[in-house]
Amino acid sequence: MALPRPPRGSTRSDFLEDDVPDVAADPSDSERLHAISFGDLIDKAIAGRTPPALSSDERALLEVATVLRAAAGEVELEGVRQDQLIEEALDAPSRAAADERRGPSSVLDVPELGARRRRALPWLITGATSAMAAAAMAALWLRVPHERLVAAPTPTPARWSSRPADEVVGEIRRDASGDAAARLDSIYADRLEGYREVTLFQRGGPR
Amino acid sequence: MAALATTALEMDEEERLVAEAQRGNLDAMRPILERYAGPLYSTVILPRLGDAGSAEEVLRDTLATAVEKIRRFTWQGKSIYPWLRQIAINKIFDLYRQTKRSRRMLSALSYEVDTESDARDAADAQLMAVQERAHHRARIDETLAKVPARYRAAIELRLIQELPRDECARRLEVAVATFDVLLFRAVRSFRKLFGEREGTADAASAERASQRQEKD
Repeated sequence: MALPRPPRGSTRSDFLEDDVPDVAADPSDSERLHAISFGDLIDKAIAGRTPPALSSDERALLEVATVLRAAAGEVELEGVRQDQLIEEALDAPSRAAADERRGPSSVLDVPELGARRRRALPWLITGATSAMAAAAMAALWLRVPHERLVAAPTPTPARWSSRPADEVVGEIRRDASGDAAARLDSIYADRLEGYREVTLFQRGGPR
Repeated sequence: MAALATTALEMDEEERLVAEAQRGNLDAMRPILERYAGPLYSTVILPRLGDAGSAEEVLRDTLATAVEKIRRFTWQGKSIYPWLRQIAINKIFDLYRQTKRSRRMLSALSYEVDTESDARDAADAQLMAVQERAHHRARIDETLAKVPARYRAAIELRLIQELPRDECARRLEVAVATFDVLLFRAVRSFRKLFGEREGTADAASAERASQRQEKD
């Protein structure tokens, strides 16, 4: 019979405290759903796969079923699990000693507080941070504007920049028009000087 | 059930291991814990809690406390098992106090067994474990006898014989879904009857257990 599963963690039902129906009484749909769900749960418990999350009613009935099984001697601890628990128990003193050696210096250690202080702590933190935020806003609001302290960038000298060569070459007379090599030499020398200045300046040397 | 210390030879070995552990070699506790972890789980802890996860935690805490306090144990010519059992019982009480859950039936079971059979007077671990299991079984059988026969059969087949659902249904000549309803009602019925039976002694035994806990 295909019935929908009852929702997990659904609202608490009355089946735990209500009277148990007669053996011959027809079950309601709700009872059928709970019964199938409980049957599945017993399957899992017998297989050692009890789900960690159960409703309180399911847990109560499962505990009764486990008590019945335990009394019959049907529930034993698995060997592997037993070995794990024994190892954990034998390691407990050394773990405790290590914790003691580490002391309260760990960043994770939180000092013990009394109940009143523990209750007040969130309010204290909230109050302190709110006050700090308000003070910061007030400081920004009331601050007198002043001149920027950052100096304006120094303009780059013209001789370091790309520029026309008119200043170097000057007016070209008609009789010197064929002496282009000399003019090129002058321009080259001017540019080379600028290059040296930039290079020496960047290395921190004299300008 | 795992073999418990029954012979004189085993008792001598147990005494030697306890003495060695008390001298500081805690690894000597390992054979003792391996011998008694199973019986503690299946006859002392799980029948009182009914929850495998909590039972494992209580067992681990019991064994850890035993390792931690082995120096305080005084050998009196009988097995260490009663001492371990008492630690386990105390841990179960602690758990009830912490959770404060309404478990009238299970808490009654826990208190009454403890008050009726004083573990410290028992001479033999094997006998004690067998008696304890028989005691649980007798109490459960007594309640089962009051459950309608059809419900009792469902419990016997499914929870005690641990047969699959379809086999249980086949033996009771019903559909599987009908068997599920039978088992569901059977467990509810048992819980109610057992709770009523135990509830009458609940308040008094809880009070006695609480007083003994404070004394310990």
